[in-house]
Amino acid sequence: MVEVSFIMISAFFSFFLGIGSYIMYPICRQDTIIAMLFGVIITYPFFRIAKYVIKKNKYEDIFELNKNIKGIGIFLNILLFIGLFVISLFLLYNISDFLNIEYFSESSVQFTKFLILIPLWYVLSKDLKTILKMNQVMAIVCVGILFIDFIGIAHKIDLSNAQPVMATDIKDFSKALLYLAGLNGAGVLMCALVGRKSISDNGSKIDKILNLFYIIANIMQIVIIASVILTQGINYVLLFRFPEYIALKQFSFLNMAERLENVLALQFYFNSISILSFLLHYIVKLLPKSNKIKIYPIFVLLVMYFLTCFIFKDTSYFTLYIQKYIVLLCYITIILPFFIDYIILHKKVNKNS
Amino acid sequence: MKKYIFALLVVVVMFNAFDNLKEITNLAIVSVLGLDVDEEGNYIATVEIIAGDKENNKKTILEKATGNSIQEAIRNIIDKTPQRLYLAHLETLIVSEDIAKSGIDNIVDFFIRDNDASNNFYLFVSKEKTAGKVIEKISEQEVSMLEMLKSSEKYRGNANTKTLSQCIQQILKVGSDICVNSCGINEDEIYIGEMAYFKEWKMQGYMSKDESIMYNILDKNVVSPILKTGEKENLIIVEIVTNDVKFGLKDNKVNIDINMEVNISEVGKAISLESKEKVREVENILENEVKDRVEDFVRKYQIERGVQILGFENLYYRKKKEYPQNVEFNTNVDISIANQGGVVNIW
Repeated sequence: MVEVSFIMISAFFSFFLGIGSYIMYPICRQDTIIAMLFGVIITYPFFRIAKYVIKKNKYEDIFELNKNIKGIGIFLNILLFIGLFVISLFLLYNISDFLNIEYFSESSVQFTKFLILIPLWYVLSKDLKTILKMNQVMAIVCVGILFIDFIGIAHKIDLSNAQPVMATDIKDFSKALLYLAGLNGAGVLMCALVGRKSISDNGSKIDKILNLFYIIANIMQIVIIASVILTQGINYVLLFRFPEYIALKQFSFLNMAERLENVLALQFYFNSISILSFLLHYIVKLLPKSNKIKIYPIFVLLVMYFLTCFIFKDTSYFTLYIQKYIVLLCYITIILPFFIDYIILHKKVNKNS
Repeated sequence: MKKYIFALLVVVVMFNAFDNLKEITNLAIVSVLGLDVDEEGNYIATVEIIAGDKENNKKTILEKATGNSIQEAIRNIIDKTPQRLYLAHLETLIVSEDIAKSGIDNIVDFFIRDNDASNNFYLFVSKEKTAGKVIEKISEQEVSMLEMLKSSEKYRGNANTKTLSQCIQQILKVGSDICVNSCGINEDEIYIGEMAYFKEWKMQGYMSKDESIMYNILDKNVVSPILKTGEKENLIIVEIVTNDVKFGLKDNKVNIDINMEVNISEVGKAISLESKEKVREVENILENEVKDRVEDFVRKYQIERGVQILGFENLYYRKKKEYPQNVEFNTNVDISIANQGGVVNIW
């Protein structure tokens, strides 16, 4: 169960950095920190759904559960497949864009994307257990790096950067909370893709483990946002596509370790690779069974490569799609199917009892 | 497994560093960049490049070029040097007074947009006619502006080591202006001058030496400057050890609370430190002196000239209050002498 919970951390990281933050900062400005605190409460219903589905899903994964639901099951699987695939496209372009802007500024983003697909190709040849284990290791490394990051930039924190408090219009603030709930809700529900049959059963501890990881993932997200805004001020943050990386430029540990942003920022890469391999594992698994199953991973990766080239012609298109569609996509293709699953499972349990 | 290793090897060999491959021998590493404008409004870029000039036994090379824009001026230097200018290790940017007075916003824009530059360098305003002149002297004397700046900040307190990105962060805050270091040539020697103060993006003028120290004290940016009061027999010179300044709003008035710990450096014959009461008297003299200087400073810059270098307007903005036309303020100074030293010691 623990390895599945780590998915929550990776999803929170990679859905938010460069995607969620890009939506939130302009709307809530310095109040983004408060919005994140509210986000813990607002995302909680989705977390409850995820917990319930994990506990009651006795199959290998959510797709198998849906297959056993008569009528609407196939429709739910199609929705989930579209959701996972499109989110993977967004994540792939987001991490390519990040590497391209901060590391390979003179290379084409298409080359960077290609570089990311290679490890994904390798990981996709492995089973779910290995992917979850890899994600666990990477998430632990990322939490460690984040802790070091925070120590290194804590001396730059200026609490006055959080003022004026609650200056955002209540309408905009509520809108931002809805966006946040959509993205974090989708992140939380990623854990519920895995059924209990595929993972080690911790019995009565499931609740405790999931609660703990929900708190850790939220704290980490709040720490990142607070560090970014409090060290730089919101007007400076808004100048950059990835202000989280810019914040790391201020890293200094006892005046000895400095200019480590390129190493420290690798956590974004690790998280994105982890969550992408997890999502792609299910995308490949959902494709119809045939004797050509071995070429599925490379086929999916190539389709993703060309689709991202076609859809996201450049960063401006990508950021436009982020602002317009990604939250809606999360609600319709991830949250809605899980909500329907939750209702069906709930009815079933009530009927049996 | 083999095919993955093969694919990885192909990638490693084929895409080695991609287009970003930069051989160090092909880079002209710039340590100082100077920007001037000529009479026609063209930018003149002067750069000091770190490269051993073996023929003339020099560590740096100086190059200069003109262009319609900052980018063009910098790119035109490539005509004179076969290497590509590399700005990631830039330490010092010197702009002429003319540029500073007409606004540094386009310069800031250029460096924010440029991916190579780190923005962790120090901005200076040239007190000479051109920034190029100062850079020529820097190159000739092979001085490090960074070391000079650190010394000035630490021992004189008239300069501060705020990087360009820190200046941008400050100026982008609502109701907040910046101060920038200045430099010039005096009797054939480079010196770090007093702070130049800005309103929005435009330079307004220079502070005096004492005002620069006062600004840095209020900006919590001092390491160990000297404070002096009285003359001859009543002379008191102290070194600031710790400095804590807080700005707050109380009854719509700005409250400035200053807490300092100082060490006695030198005292005149009329100043006695033989009892705790007398030490308290000296502390009172110092507190009154600092209070007077702070009030003069605030009155001159914040109120008369309306320059938000102490960020009073930002203070009101943060508390969601309207900035009053006539700002009132209170100053509370608390100074304690940490150690009087000397031969006669009461501790």
